[in-house]
Amino acid sequence: MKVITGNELLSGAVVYFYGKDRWGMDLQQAQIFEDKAPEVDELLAAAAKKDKVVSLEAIPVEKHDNQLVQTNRLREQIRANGPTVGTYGRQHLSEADYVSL
Amino acid sequence: MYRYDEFDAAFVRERTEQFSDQVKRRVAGELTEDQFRPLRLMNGLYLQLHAYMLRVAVPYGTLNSRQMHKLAHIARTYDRGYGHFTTRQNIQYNWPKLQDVPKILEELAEVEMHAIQTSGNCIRNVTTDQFAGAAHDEIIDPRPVAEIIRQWSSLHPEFSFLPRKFKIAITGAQQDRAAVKFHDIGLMANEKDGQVGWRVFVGGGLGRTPMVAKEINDFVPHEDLLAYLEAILRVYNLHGRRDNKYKARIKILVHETGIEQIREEVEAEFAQLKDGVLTLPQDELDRISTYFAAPPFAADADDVLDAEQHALENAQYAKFLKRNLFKHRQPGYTSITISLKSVGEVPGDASDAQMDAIAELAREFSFDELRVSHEQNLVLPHVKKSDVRAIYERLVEIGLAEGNAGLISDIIACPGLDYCALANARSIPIAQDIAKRFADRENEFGELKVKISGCINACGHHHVGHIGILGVEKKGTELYQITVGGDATEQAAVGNILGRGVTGDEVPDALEKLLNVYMDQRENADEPFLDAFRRLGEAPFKEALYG
Ligand code: HEM
Ligand code: SF4
Repeated sequence: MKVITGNELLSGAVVYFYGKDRWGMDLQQAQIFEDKAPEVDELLAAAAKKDKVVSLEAIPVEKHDNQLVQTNRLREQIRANGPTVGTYGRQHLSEADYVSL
Repeated sequence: MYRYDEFDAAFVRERTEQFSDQVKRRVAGELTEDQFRPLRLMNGLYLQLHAYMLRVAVPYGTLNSRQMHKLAHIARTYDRGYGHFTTRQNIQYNWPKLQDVPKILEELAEVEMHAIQTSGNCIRNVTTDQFAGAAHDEIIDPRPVAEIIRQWSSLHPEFSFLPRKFKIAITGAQQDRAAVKFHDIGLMANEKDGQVGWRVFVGGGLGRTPMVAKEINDFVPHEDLLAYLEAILRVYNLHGRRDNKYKARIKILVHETGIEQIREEVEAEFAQLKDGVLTLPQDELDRISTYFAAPPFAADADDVLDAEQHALENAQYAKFLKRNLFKHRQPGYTSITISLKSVGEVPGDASDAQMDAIAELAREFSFDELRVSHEQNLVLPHVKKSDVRAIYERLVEIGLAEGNAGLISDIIACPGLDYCALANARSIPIAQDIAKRFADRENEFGELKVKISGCINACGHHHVGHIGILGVEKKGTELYQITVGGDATEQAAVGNILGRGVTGDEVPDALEKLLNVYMDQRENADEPFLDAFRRLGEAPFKEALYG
């Protein structure tokens, strides 16, 4: 399983693709794709063309208890939760925690 | 301290205006990310894991109080109330927003600062000894020459698209505190026939292929230095590899071509350039030197510390006096290292309030001067010995009175996987764990430099740590490779990898084993860890770690 992620242009904040041009900070709301889903590449290309989310990537995720979506690399866990040191949390999007692009 | 002339002020202003316009065009969609990325990098703006990161130049690590107050103000206003001082004697902000960056650059320009040449394949900001102009062992103050190199290299059109980044470090002292042999070019002051000039080293570097620089010339006089540097850069620009970014640094060129041939080519180029426009007239050197004239030291400053009594009463203060003072060239004065390595904190981080307080200390006690060291600490270079106690107490108030300079908890650590998009593993928590584990015993271990990088790029200088720690990723988990015996000083050495990596939790235990070998086998308490390692070789350390 995969989700699409990147950094929002203005804030640099980590965002996930929620579907239908919506992007937000919550991994739980990310649209989940099968590993070989052909639309992933198309969506990445479309997002790259819009160019409002950068450093685009499709990353592997796992689902636990049919509920919680988890990334399996530490790098992605840190992107999803902020640095493991300090109390800074994550970067926030400029307005609400999601954007329509 | 150097003051911008009209030319400097104009080009920094122009660059800020240009970038402001580029940001506007990017936000409006007139520039694509591919077009914008190189432009933002030329202005020190990276995109990291969580946010943008802005790297601000502190040329040769020198700041005044106004500049430090400005850095604090930027941290407070546009970031999250802190900044990260780095081994490149720079400061990085981890959370700026793209639209705010032009404003930040404008604010920096107000105090003669910028983010130019902090990224990209150009000549980066020159670094030097944090005690320059203050150290007792100095042959010459390197800052005037460092400033001249800054002027020569800033936006140098011929060298703006080199095969790869290019770093120059310079020291005027006998003891190298600027790691010059691990830079693309390293300069060390040298005296010959009563004249002072420069020993030139070339082809040092860390990263994937660590190399100790080789001496290319043992004496270049001041007036020829720029022509000589330009000759080296030309040879590099011509022959440096552009086909493979891992082989593009000058260290690879020197290694593959051989220093003799490089020297010949540099000499040939130098012969053309010598006595031309790059010749540095003595009156220009003198003019720049006046900016760095010694401050008005009090001739009758008391040369004894009033410390003994206080130190007896306060072990922390005693430790501070022992570790954080550095011998000054002027009787009655000392330099003070302000450690940004309080145990359990993030190495190199300072809050806005701490920066403001330090700026005030510089203004009140150190002729308005501050330095950033490559060991990620700050320095008050010119302090009266009779003021040390008062400064210490002020540092206690802001939580920066740790007396650990050069000890095991004074760790260089790169941002690692907590921030860095290139990282394989975290560095900061490892540094914190080591500091916590050994802080109460660190005096016994004496001088011990631990350096940690979160990937092979080696921003945390792990190759030259007495104990170096390199984060790698294996099957999705962090592992740490341990090296021993690195040395960043004039006796430059790259550490030996001892064996397979250990997990993050195991790192403090692994260090404990290495330290046990040292404590058991050192000749006496005066033999530092590094000397003991050189005498004993790696075998006992390897044995202790892996059985
Ligand atoms: C945005 C985060 C950073 C990125 C993307 C980055 C990238 C890199 C890369 C790619 C290299 C290897 C260069 C090569 O061998 O050609 C390198 C080396 C280095 N970086 Fe960084 N770095 C970052 C942060 C830092 C920080 C925070 C410091 C200072 C603490 C630093 C100081 C250095 C040093 C000292 C070296 C090794 C010396 C050398 O061979 O140039 N870097 N960096
Ligand atoms: S060493 Fe690697 S992890 Fe650390 S800052 Fe440099 S690039 Fe990032």
